[in-house]
Amino acid sequence: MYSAAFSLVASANAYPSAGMTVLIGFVVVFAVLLILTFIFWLFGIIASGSGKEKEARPTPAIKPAMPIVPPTTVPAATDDIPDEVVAVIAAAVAAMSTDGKQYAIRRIRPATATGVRPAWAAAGIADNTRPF
Amino acid sequence: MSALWEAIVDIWEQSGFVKLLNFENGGWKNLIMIAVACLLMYLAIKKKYEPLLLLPIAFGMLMVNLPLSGVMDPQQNSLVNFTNEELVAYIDGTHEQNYPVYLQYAKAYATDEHITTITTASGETVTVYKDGDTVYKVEDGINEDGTVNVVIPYWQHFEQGGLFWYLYQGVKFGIYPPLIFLGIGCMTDFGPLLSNPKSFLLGAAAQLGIFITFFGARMLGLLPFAEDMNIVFTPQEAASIAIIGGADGPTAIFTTSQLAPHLLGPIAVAAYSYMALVPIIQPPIMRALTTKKERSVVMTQLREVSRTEKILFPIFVTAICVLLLPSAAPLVGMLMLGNLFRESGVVERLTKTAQNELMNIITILLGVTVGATANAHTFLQAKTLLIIVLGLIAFSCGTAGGVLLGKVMYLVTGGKVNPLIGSAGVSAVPMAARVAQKEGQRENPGNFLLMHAMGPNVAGVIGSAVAAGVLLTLFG
Repeated sequence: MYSAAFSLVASANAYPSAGMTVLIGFVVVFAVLLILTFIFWLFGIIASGSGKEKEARPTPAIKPAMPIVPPTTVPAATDDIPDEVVAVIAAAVAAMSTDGKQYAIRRIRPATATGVRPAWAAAGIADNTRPF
Repeated sequence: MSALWEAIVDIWEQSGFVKLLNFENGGWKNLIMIAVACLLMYLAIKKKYEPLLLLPIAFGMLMVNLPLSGVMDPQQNSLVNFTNEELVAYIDGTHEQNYPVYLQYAKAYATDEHITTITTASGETVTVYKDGDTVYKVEDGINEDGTVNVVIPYWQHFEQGGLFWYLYQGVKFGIYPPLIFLGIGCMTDFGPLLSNPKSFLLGAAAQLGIFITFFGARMLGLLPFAEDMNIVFTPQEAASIAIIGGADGPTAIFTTSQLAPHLLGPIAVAAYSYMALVPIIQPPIMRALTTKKERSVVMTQLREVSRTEKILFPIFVTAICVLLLPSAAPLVGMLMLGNLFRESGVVERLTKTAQNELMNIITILLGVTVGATANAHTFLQAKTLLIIVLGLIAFSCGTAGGVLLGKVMYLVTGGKVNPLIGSAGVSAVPMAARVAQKEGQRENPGNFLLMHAMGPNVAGVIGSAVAAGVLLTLFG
């Protein structure tokens, strides 16, 4: 469509003027990339839609492979961390341990060292930037 | 002893040194070019400015400016007329065949004064057609209509071209840059772009520099002293200079080789120099156009992109770009083929070859031959200085275009987009994205913009290829 328009412009009167070239060029570059934006935006919607469907499917209940035993009485070393924070971390560990095994938290320490990226953040960044 | 001395003098007089030191005949121009080549080599080796390309470019430049190297001499292949003596010798059967002889047959109206006979060395009598002092052999006698069939022999003069001239054909016919794009496609992860398709627009906005520079280059010709200073650029030349703003070496070389091959040397040097100077050129523009608050914006995490999306991406981009803009097909097509290799995951061998061995070989060939186009005659002109200035303008305007659209996005999304990522829309992968990341961290050390900037960065590659397609369609 555009290329046909171009060849007309180009053959009718040698070459388009400088101002017209700027206009044509900018409009075409934007039009092409706008079309691509729209297409891949649609792709994203379709992809995230199918992702949600998968998430919505009921996951089979995981049966514990071994009988639940009462927690050990050894106190975790938590360096005066509020109980709420310990509870949240313990809950996160429990939520992620879907393999039927039981995990014990032995020690929780605050990340005090300044200028050092938290381990999870560092791992995430390393994972994201590996191709570059 | 005198024979030895004469031989030494003879060798000296035939050497390139004499030409180089012959300042009256332009030897100083070659010396300047050799100095420029050495400076580029210094920048590549010591400062590590795009060494992979700058080093071969500089060496090609050095070699072509050593007088008599002949590395860029074109192949000579022409038909040469016989001299009168050679024509007689040919008829006589005594001429020596140094080159292949081609015969052309022509009909000539013969009158008595034209036709004569000569006796050859072997005693044979031959009819000849005499045209002034020139004689041609006549075959089959005089025809019924009074004409004769004249045999006109030619030498085929052939001289082998220089090594770089043969290698240069890959640039001239636009073969190397798309092959480089194949390798780039294999190395590029379009995931960040797919997870945030709005980045495409930032890649488009950063092409602003190309078109503004085109306009500026053409307007230079309107200056009253433009003709005298030889700074009038044709549309093709202006388009080739403007494409420097795409900050994409292969695209600049591809476009220039098709539109203004005589400017290839200065444009390639300018394009690669500015790409190396991205960390110096971009930050002041980025800071000038954004507020502290805008630069501090932390963007939300990108969504994960499925394999199916990544596989469909190159197919769709190729189809849309090629259908809309057929002249962008070689660049976009090869870029996307490389990316399909990568994302399909089934042709690992091809992917490895394209992004390593093939790309390295082509880089060497492209570098030395582009450097070899920078001879003193084409490089040492007022136009070269202007190309370097216009290239800088193109680059700066491209950066500004991306950042300004980033600001628009910041406003439209209510502060969710950091305008700094717009600057990465000028290609120069991944350097421009790294600059955006660095500038973001200057304001907020916990901010990590790299992956967000990679989207516009790879969109810029597609954008500059599309812009090149537009210019090729308009002026090719």
